[in-house]
Amino acid sequence: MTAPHAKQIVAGYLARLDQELDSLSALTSSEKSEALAQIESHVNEARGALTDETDADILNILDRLGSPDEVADSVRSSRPDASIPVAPKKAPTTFERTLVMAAILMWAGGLASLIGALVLFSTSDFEPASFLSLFAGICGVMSGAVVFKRPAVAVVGVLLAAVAVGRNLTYWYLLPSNFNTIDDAALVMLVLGGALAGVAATLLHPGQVPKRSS
Amino acid sequence: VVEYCVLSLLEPEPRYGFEIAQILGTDGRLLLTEGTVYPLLARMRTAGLVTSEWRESKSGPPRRYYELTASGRRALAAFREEWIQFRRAVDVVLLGGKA
Repeated sequence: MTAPHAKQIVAGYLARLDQELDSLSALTSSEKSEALAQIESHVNEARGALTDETDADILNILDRLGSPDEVADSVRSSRPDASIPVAPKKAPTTFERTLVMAAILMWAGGLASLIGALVLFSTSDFEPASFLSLFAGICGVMSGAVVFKRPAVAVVGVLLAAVAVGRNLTYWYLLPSNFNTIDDAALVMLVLGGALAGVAATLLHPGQVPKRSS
Repeated sequence: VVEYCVLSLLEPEPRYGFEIAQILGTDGRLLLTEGTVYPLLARMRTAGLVTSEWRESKSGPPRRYYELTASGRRALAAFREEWIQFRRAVDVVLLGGKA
């Protein structure tokens, strides 16, 4: 025979447990659902073993389970990341992979065309010293973006790319005679490569924002 | 210690949560409150020490059965060794070398 107040007693216990679990900010909804389902299943199993249950039997079952705050506390302390939640590792999307590939190809292309310009045109048409300093600067932008994962570095790369593109457009339309195709194309590719690498690094390695845990 | 007792219970055969809670709680007095066994099982599953699967029950709704993984077996074997050493050391102190 079912205990006269079994339904209310069990429902009240589960509602209190639900409230206690809600207070655990680090708990995911699936973890909460599983914890509640396990406790409910336990109560049903225990009741199933009784031939003729009373309200006192139900209360004893819940006593042995522990109070809702005790159960919630054990849920909290059983989480491996109870103190320092770690952001889930994000798999790179096709767009991000394409971005990384584009950055690598642009860098390879830029470097190859610069070496080609040095070999084919010697140093008569441009100044290696100023070019090398710019090259070193761009290398810094790219490595900074990738290694230190700084969005700000990616922004600097984008600005540099804008300057390089603007400079080339100016030459193209206003001073076509001063435009050295291989040299300037290489510069644009290097700068854009650095910028793309920065954006890719930011997308692939977003900063881990610690969540509050109780 | 309770975690390794759970692993030991699962060594011969898979068991479901209520069964484990009964053995450790009511029968074994290793759990103060039976409800703590479920978060423990969830953590052990996350750690890869056990796996779980739903199985039909003859007397009611399906039950989640837990089974030892190879990693769980290794952890249990390592703990058994440590426990024996620890117990001997405590016996020497408590019983004055009469263990």
